[in-house]
Amino acid sequence: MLKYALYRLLLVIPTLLAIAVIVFLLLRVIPGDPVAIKLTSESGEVTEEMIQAERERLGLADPLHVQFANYMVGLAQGDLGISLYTERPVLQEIGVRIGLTIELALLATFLSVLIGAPLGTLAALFRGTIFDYIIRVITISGLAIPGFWLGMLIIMFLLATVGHLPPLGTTSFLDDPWLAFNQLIWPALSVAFRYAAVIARMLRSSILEVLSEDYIRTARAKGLKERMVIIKHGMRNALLPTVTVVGLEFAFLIGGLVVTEQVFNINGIGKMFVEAVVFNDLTMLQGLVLLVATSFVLVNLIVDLLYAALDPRIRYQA
Amino acid sequence: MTLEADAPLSTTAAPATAPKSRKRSQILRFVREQPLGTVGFLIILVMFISAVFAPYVAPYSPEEVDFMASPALGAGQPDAQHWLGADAFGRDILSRLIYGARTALSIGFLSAFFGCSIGAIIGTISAFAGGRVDMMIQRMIDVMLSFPIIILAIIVIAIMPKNVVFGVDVNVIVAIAIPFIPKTARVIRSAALTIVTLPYIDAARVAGYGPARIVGLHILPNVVAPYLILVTAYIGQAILLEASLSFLGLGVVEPTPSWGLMLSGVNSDYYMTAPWVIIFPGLAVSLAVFAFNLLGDSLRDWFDPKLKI
Repeated sequence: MLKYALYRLLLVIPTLLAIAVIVFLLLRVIPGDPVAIKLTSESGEVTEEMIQAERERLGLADPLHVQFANYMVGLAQGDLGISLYTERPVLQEIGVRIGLTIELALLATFLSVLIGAPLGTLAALFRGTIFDYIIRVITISGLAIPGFWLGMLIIMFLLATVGHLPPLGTTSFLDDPWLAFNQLIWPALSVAFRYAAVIARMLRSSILEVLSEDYIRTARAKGLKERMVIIKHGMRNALLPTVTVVGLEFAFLIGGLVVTEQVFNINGIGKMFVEAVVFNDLTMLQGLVLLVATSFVLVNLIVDLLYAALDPRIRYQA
Repeated sequence: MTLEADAPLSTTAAPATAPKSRKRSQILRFVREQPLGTVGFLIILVMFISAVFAPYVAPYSPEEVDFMASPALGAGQPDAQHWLGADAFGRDILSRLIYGARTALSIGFLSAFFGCSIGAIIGTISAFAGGRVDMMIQRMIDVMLSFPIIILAIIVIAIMPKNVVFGVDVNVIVAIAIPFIPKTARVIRSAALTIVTLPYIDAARVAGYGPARIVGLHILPNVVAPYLILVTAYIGQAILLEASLSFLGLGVVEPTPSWGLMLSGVNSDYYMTAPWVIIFPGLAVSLAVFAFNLLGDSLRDWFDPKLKI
């Protein structure tokens, strides 16, 4: 297990490096001059000298390789640079807002498992019956309904029934769990529906695959009760691929809540993304992209290790 | 994997009319065995026809403003004049939905087509080349896959200059197409890997054909089934992505009718007074994506049940 963990850990390093390089290069090819845009939006009348001075101040006038060296050295020290727009350290800005996004992502992941797992299991166990069909239609529509529209419908529903919206704010679960829950449950639900559908479909097909294995026949032939066969021999094995899906889903949600945060007006990472694009905030965008990719790679690593711990076959293969 | 399995049947059928009737019976069999897919196809057909004939089908022009019909004045309810009501500018929602279908379907089809085609070519090359090239391509794909598709699309929007050709917003299409490349490349690569080892590829090599010819003429035609399934499924995803981007204000811009755009801006202020402004555009997106997903699912069950998409 240790050998596998080390091997997997080593694989992460080149991936992260590649991401850092690609992100740097990509954002340097942006056609609009972020500095010119920034100055114009601030003061209207802008001279070429002002732009040049500002570029030098922000270190954007250096040759590309110098910028790259500064960027990589900064990264190694955990420095993501200064936001072009707010003039505050990117890391600090992200730090203020990431907590909310992580809480929302966790809650959404939890809800999607809560909804998706029973649906997928039912669909598999009642394969080909009317249950299976109904669940199939539910899951396909889960994939079809835009999360932001579902969010809007939820808001409409809340206004029509309770008469007011959930409190908006940045209360953390650590401070006031009940208020935080009230704040996040609706946006979480609007995202979770889609992922519940993904989980249900995944689980259905993996249960069906496992139930056709030889060892299930053996377990039945042994005279085990059907319930035991399904729970102990079937579900345990079928859950493995679903673990991956759930982990990746969480990782994707860190950056993928863009639209939901917009609808519910949540000040998280997703809203920051849109703001960074709208304000042409190069360093902020760079920091955010790195954050999203890194969190994905790390969660992926954890999922793989977890998977290897659950399934001995994997660590022997590697 | 492919359609090859039942190809010999057609060679034994002697009469000239046989292929036609065989085709018809295949369609009938699809309808019977894949009822959900057929429903999806019919929904798509209706949308396609109304998009193409929008000027004849739509009761109003999508850009015709009539402030007297705006919900801001307490008007605009769905009635005999405006079947699905009117939006904040008093524009007919049904007409905007019909014209919006043009935007959704054209952007959806073009981006899924380009994304999947480039992905299929990369995947095939990766499988055929093997070794170091394969390794490099796969690591690149790993990097791309570590971004949620909406983030990938937003990055492209941020990078590319505004670009409109023939009234079509190229940026939006590229932004939506790029996230499909790595996914398609993965799926097509694994399909192509099983083909690369087949004797006829060796035969082609022995015959002295170049790599471009082998990839283009011998491998690509045999991954057409997974390719078509992916394109179908991804048109739905592309429509969803277009709606999301336009909703965020990063996609199609006013006054082009777009379903996502109809849900953003001032229109989202009418939660209580004019719910129709919000309900119908979302319903249109859902229905379109639903239809493409149903069809994609059924095509997979039909051609290639083991394909993971």
